[in-house]
Amino acid sequence: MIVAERKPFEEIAEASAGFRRVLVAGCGTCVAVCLTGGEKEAGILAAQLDIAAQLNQREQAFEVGCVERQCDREFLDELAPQIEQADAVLSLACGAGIQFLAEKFPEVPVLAGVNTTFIGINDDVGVWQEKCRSCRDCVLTLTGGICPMSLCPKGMLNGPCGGSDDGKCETDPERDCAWALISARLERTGRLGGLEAIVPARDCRNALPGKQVHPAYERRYSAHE
Amino acid sequence: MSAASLGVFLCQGGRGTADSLEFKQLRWAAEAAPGAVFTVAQSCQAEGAQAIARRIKELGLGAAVVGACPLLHHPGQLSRALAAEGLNPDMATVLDLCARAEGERSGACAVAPGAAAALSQALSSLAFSQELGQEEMAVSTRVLVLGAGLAALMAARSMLDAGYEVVLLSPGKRLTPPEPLLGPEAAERAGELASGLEEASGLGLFRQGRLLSLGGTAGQFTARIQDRGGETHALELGGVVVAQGPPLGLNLPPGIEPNERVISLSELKGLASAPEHLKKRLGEGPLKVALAVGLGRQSDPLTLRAATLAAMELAQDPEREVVLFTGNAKVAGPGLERLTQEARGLGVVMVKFTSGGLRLNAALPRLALEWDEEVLGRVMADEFDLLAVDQVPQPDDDYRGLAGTLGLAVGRDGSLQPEAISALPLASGRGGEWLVGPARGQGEPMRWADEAADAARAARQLLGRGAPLAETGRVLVDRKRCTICLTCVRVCPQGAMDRLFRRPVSNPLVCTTCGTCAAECPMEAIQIVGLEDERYGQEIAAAAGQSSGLSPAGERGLLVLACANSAAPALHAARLKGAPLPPGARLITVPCAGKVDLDMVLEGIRRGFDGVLMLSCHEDACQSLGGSTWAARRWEHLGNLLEETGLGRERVFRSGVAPSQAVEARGAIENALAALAELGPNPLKTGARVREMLSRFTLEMDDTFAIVS
Amino acid sequence: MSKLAQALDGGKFVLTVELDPPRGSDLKPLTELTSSLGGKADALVISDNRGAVARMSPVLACHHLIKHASAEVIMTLACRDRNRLALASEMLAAAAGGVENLLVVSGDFTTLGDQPGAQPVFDLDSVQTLQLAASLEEAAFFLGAVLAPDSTLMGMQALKLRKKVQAGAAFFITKPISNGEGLGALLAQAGGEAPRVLAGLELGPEEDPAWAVELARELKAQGQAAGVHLSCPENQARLPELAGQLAL
Repeated sequence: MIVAERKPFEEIAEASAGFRRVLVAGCGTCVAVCLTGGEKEAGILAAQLDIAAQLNQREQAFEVGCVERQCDREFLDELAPQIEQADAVLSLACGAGIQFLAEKFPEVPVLAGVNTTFIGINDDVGVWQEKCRSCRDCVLTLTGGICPMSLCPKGMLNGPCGGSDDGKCETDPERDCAWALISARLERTGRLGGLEAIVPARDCRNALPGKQVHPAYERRYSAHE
Repeated sequence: MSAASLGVFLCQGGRGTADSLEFKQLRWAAEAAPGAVFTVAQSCQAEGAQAIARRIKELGLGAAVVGACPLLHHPGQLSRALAAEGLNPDMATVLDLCARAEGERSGACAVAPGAAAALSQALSSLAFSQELGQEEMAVSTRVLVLGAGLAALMAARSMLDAGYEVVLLSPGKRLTPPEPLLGPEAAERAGELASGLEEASGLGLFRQGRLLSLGGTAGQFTARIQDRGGETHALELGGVVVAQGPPLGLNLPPGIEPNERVISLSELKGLASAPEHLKKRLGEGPLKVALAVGLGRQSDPLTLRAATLAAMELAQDPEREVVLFTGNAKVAGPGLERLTQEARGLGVVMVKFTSGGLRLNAALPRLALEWDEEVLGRVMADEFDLLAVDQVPQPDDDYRGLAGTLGLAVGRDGSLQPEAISALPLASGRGGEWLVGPARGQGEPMRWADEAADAARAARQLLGRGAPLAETGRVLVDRKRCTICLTCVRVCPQGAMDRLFRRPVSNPLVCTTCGTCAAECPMEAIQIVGLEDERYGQEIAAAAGQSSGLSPAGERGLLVLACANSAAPALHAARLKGAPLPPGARLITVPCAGKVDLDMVLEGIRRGFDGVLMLSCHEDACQSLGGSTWAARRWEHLGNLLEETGLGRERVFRSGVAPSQAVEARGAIENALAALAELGPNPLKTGARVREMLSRFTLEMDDTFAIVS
Repeated sequence: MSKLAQALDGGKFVLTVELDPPRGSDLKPLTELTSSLGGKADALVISDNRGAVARMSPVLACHHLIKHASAEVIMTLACRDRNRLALASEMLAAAAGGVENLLVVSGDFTTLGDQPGAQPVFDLDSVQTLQLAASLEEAAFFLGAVLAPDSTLMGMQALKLRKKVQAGAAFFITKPISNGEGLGALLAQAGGEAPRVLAGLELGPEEDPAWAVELARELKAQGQAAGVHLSCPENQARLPELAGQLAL
């Protein structure tokens, strides 16, 4: 899932200071799971902003809304009545949700309340780990289900760099070297041989904004229908 | 409950009370609720109580709140009067609104400070109370016992005797592995139990088996067990007894590695009873042996006893010089003192070394020991041929793995015992799993038989005969809000939350309604019936409305969130001892600190309270085994959140109290009030007052009261 | 064929010395240091933003040393700072300026340097960069790469060595070592024809070079290395004197 962290309070308070009625819009999926932007966190942030506004003698009102996902237009529609009353929307969704909300409601200023951090796993209560960089060119079959693009800071595709030290990364003695993990895993499963061939340079055309149509729906979205 | 069916009775008490401003405030608070309001004279007298009961009957009221003093409540007069009228004796809630201490029968009655707020609060919370029906739950009556040796065998026996089917999963081949500390009688008892069990019907046995997984919750666990042939068996289980302790390792301080001259006490006992082995190992001639107990971690009396016995056995041979070092050991044990004297008589030298420890140069061929002699107060040194030390639990990866499978954590002492041991002796961190014997830490085998019996009692209480009654529907998960983040499943201190059809469901057999799940849920999807967020919101509003609007100038408003298991009884005891809540403090009782939601605290601050105090159980004595730990973590976060707003963290306080600590509980409130007096009023107070006034003029009757009507 | 390649082909026990381009724009000190090294070293390795600290481009530094000090240089090129376009353009620029030896490295990670917030590029890794260099028809470099003999990931480092050879590496420089064991083991594990390896010997600013001299002799005597690569990153002024002792 997508993981995000709340922006520093000061940044949020400053960005919203000029608006009288602010809707704090939570998102009930990924950012709720990572305890950053669900209904509870939206409520807490609104309460905090209210306290700060009162302390600074700003006449502001904060309201809370939360929908299932801000990345779906049908759910965003549910926010419309609240957004109509608001001078600005402070979205706690990931970058995708914030943008879609802005696109759906072109008239209202949209403020970002979180920094989207990564695609990761939910390790335990309050702990997440990055696992995927969405590079559109997955090598996990080759690398034993351990991603060198996201877990190796240099994204080395042909083996470890010289900075790998005792299973740890040169960037941080606490960080596992991705290639140490890959090597151990492939050795265990007897698949080290798959690494012998040189992995060619990756295709970075994925830097272009992505858009994906499911093959079954190609006709629907083609120019001809 | 309809409006007409609720009556609020206010005791006028002694002369003049009815004319006081405080009493008028009480009336206003009561009239705000659309029930009937009555005043009564002298409810502490039998006639007063009878008058209330008659009135309730005449009007056909469904429920009543009586604002009075503890005198009415304490002798049960009202209950008796209600019963005499043929009414439900528990239909009336008596609220203590009096300033007078119990026992002071004489003297003027006076309305307690904050009584109006307490009445408003009670009326708003009353709207939420709800009786739920009980249903029979289908549970498995099979109990898994993990472990081998005396404790596990005792547990299996007790469960069988209690009528449960037992599956015994022994990690090794033998049901009676050597337990050197236990002595011959215990070994004999274990042997008897083992042969008895092997013949018993209703016992399934897996030797060298492995628990692969344990899903579900109490009464409805599903286990996968691998037998020694590698085959996997799926079993439904009602409960699990964990009698398996971690493996033992030498109790050495860090940095010292065992070698052939540093051995365990049990190894020494083996050597001592077979002199030819001892000679083979260390050669002929005189021998100097050191025994040490409590060299690394603390040792228990049982270990000391075993060490003393071993030293005595060695000292039988006059050619051997035996020194017993005791350090970090509990020395008070039955008969230990006498045994020590006997050992001295046999020539065993007893040395107590201090916290400076026993310094050891384990380099071969001789061992050099150095210690601070406690009695002489100087450094001593000597050389020995052999050092035998006691053993302590040292969990290995396998044991940690087992703990993980069981959903439990290995504690600092290497056992599975949760830190909140004083609360519930056999309880683990997962309802339906009970800890017996070595799983609870360093052994006290004298108690194992009792523990095994207690586990069987706990099983009976939980599982009954396979269809226990349970109150269902107390914990509600709103499917529309729930995003299945599993936070509730992971935080539940009882392991009561499970996934059913992909949604979290609370198992009422083990749920204590501590509310930790509800407070941690990021989607506010979990509500506990009767303890909803809305209820607390209205209670806070009621308490704050009265305090911000009407409290005398300069008085500080402190919202006290008190755990029903510890702080609330402590404060009640304080009240009965003549120490009511100090002026300015408003009490809201929560089922457990685990239920304290940050929203509640922030709401209190925004409502104009000058500060908020959370009074919980001590973290290591939480009645719900961890709710107060989660609450303490949230409290840290709360401080940061308030810091961010510019208000600062100084207005929120947290303190742990035991139910018996009446003085401490009240002291914590006084300390918080004193700190608030230094800080001055909540800067949000004026705004809160304005909003309170506005809401009175612009809104119709609050929802709270609409529900009552 | 570069002089370095000739020396290695001729079986000479080679000495290379590592020098950093200036952190400013004045090339005079580097030129003087090169002159004082005289003929003691067979080639100078000119580093590329070593330690992820920005310095003058090694392309220009190399050109300058070739032109003004007639030096035999090995230009380092790190994958960290350039995408494949920039790598190719640097290679072409280097070739045009007379650089014949190229050492391809991954490069220390950006967060370790003086611009920790910089974008780490790593568009190509060292193996792919070697492939790119080998594919340039306009520039026939004598290609080198790095070995990490003392890594705990011996199998992976051996794999990497094989890939680098396959990608066109003709010689290797090791990360600093203190004995020959790891190198021996790595080469044994990698199998195949033993590549030409220069053993990295790194000295502290004041460190006595006796051990390094002895190790170099040992490596030479046992034929474990084709030469040594000397560095003294914190006191490069010492390099002429040290090179004198290490030139066997």
